[in-house]
Amino acid sequence: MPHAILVDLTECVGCGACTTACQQVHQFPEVENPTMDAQNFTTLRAIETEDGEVYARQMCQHCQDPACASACLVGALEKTRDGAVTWAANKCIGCRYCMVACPFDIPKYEWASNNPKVRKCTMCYMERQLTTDLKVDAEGYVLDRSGERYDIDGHNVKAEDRDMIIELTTNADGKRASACSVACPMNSTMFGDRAALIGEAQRRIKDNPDTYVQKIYGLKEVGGTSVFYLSSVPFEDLGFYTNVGTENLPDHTWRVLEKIPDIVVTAGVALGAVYWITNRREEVRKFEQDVKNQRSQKKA
Amino acid sequence: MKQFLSRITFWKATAGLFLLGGLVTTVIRFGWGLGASTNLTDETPWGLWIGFDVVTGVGLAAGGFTLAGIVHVFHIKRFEPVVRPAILTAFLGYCLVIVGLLFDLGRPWSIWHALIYQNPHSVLFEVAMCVMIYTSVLALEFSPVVLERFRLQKALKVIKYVTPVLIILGILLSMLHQSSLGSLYLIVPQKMHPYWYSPMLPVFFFISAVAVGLGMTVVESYLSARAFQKTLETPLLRDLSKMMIGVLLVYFTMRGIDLVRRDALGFLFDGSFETMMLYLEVSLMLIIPLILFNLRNWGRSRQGMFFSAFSVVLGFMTNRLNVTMTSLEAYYRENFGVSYFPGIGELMVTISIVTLGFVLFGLAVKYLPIFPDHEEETVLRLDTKPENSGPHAMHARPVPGLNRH
Amino acid sequence: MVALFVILFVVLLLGIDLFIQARSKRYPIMAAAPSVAAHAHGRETLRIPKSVFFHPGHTWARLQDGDALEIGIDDFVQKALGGVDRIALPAIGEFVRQGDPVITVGHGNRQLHLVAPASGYVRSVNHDAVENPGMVSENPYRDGWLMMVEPAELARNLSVLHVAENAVTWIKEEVKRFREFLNASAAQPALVGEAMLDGGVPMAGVLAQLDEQHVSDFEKQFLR
Repeated sequence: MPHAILVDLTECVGCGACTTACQQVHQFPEVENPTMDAQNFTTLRAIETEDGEVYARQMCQHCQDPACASACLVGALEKTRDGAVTWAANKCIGCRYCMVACPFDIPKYEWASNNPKVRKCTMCYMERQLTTDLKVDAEGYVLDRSGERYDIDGHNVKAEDRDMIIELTTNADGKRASACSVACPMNSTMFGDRAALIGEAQRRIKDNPDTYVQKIYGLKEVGGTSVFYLSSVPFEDLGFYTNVGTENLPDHTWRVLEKIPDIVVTAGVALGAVYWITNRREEVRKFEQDVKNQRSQKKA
Repeated sequence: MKQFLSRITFWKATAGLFLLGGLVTTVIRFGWGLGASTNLTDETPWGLWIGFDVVTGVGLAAGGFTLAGIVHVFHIKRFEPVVRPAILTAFLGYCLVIVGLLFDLGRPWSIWHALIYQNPHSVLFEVAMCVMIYTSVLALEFSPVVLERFRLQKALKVIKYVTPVLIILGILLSMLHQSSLGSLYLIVPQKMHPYWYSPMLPVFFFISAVAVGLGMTVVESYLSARAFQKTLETPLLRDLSKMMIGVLLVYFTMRGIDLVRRDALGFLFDGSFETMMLYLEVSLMLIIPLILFNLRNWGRSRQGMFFSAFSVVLGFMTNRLNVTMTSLEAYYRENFGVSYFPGIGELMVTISIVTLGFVLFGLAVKYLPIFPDHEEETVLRLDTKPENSGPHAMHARPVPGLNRH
Repeated sequence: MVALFVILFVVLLLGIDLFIQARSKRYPIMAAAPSVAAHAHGRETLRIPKSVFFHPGHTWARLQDGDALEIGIDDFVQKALGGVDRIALPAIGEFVRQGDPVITVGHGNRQLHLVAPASGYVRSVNHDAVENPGMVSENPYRDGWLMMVEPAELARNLSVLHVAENAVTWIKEEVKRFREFLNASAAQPALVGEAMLDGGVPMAGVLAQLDEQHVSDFEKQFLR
């Protein structure tokens, strides 16, 4: 069952609980009004509009067909069945093509590090899998089911941090959810089943046409994503990426890549044929030359 | 010879300075990371090292497959003397591209991951595989030069036997990755300026690589002639230039049609920076070479051919940097209010890599049979002072042709 | 901006290089001292490449890919003339016959007519060298080639030409003969005193010091 996040910007009061929860669950230093970087996976920008201040939240869109995952040559970025787009530290070689490819400019890099990681929101994917029954090794690190150290974006989880992470990613109903949605006091950020959230979003804009602009941002963008926004002001005015189109971006490259086998076979055969023909011609020419030479020698 | 020495000392000093800067940056890069050594940021993750060292570098090394194809597949044997310098350039070029890549990758020690964690949907994966295999193929294509030098006849025979397969494989690999460097940018249609984003990017990248491969061969040949008195025949260079111009005409016709079809011509008179850069690209890559080539005396002279080929090389660089940098500048400015300009360290490393290329090329030309005039000669000394047999004394001293400089 | 910067930088480097080139040609005094190697190829040496066929008239031919002949003048005549500052060649397409005087080179007030080393149709001429005859003095066997000929009777032509060790022996003989020729002309005051004191004669540019008659004799005795 794929998950998604729905953010109703009309409900948001700009308290910043989501950004703080995000920093806490990843054990980043707490910063107010953060900008998106390797230690802040979500931001909240206050924007003056005619209807008063609107808080534009931004985070990874968790695309249905992510450009970053298609771009990554080692497949470190992956669209999971859960809906989250995750990053595997053990695969990444640091080419940063994901950062170039992302239509929303989400992946960030640890520029100051000597062993840098690509960091971005993972919808608390690994955090949500963390449970209290997992074993702990001698050095106090949590182990996963296969006995390896539990890995969140290349960081191992200490036993003492486990409960904090679980608490931050468990909502009032006892269900696991992203830290930002758990922290949101206004229920502006909702975590849940993707289909159900789409239904909820459609219901809201249908029932309240005066409140909302008639658009669910994230539903059609780049072929569909897993993070949706509702707003009372046009998304262009909020600085959302509105020109990303509705086509799956990986299709642009796949259209070329899928032709490669044909190109290789066709060009290979063609080059082989040209080689054979011109080589043969050369041989014939040499042979005729030899015959000519022999004749002239005989005459002499 | 005198002039040559003064020139070489100036350039040697300059090169030394650049290499020193490169060395310092290398220490910073691997000691303190990319942030400390470059102007790269989260907003502009790819800079000069990808745009020039990799994307442009691979293109400039395209002469290897172009000429190998002309001579060994199409059997136009006239161009045989050009193949070796071209393959040498390609081989050195690819090695240096890999060096540049090791600087740019955040975790260069895991570069081999491309072999085991394969993502066939990634253009970059295809480029990585092709570049890796093609560099090995180039090493084999180049090996006869080394084998000849050390007279290893048996190995030579084996290589000669598999050469046709190697050459065809090399062309296929080149077709794939030269074009795929363009495909890399297909995934960001909304970020790039319409001048340079086109679904045809892979085709354009391939055709322009063929043209610049020919151009680079002419340029190298001229420079080697100046530095080492080793060169190719003028008629041969002229034929290469002719082919280059032909390929460029095809290339720009296709690009023109593409611009019209995508309605991108509307910007041509907006006076923007992008438009100026497009004009620069077209002037350097097409108009200047065409004019030079058709000038009566220039087009036929070595200098004329050098300058027209050099202009194409410059134009090619402009094109690759326009695709990788210029076309994204407006996007970065509007979305983040930032612009990228390489840091001094990035420049130093890039210049050092290019310098390294020149040095290695020079050494190879000096010590390996690269250019055809590797002939021996006798130098006869005419002593003005009589030695033992009266006024007509002289003695011959054989000197191998190599010691001429 | 990056693209513009890179292009301007490369153009700047090219500009510096051209400037240095131009300056060092104009003011050779600024150039570094000649090395030993440079001296070995200086004025008092003669180069004899191994793969070049020499005509007794001091022109050479080199086989190109089996179907073309590269043609030029040799180091001996170039040195005797003291360099080359003008060249006249037959037109492209013209037929030249081995032994016919078709090449004219000059230096200062001296002009020599040299013969074609082999017969054939002129396919191309070295415009570079015609425009910049210094190339011939620099290396008469490479950049200083003069024309490309499509050979007409190569097998017959080759029998007249000297190659490899043969060529070295022949050039040695020619130098000897040239010395004798100069000694015979030594009645000329210009040569006495300057050269004869140490017994040898500096060969470079010596033709400039001979009178018209002797130059004409030289042409007849050495260049046919």
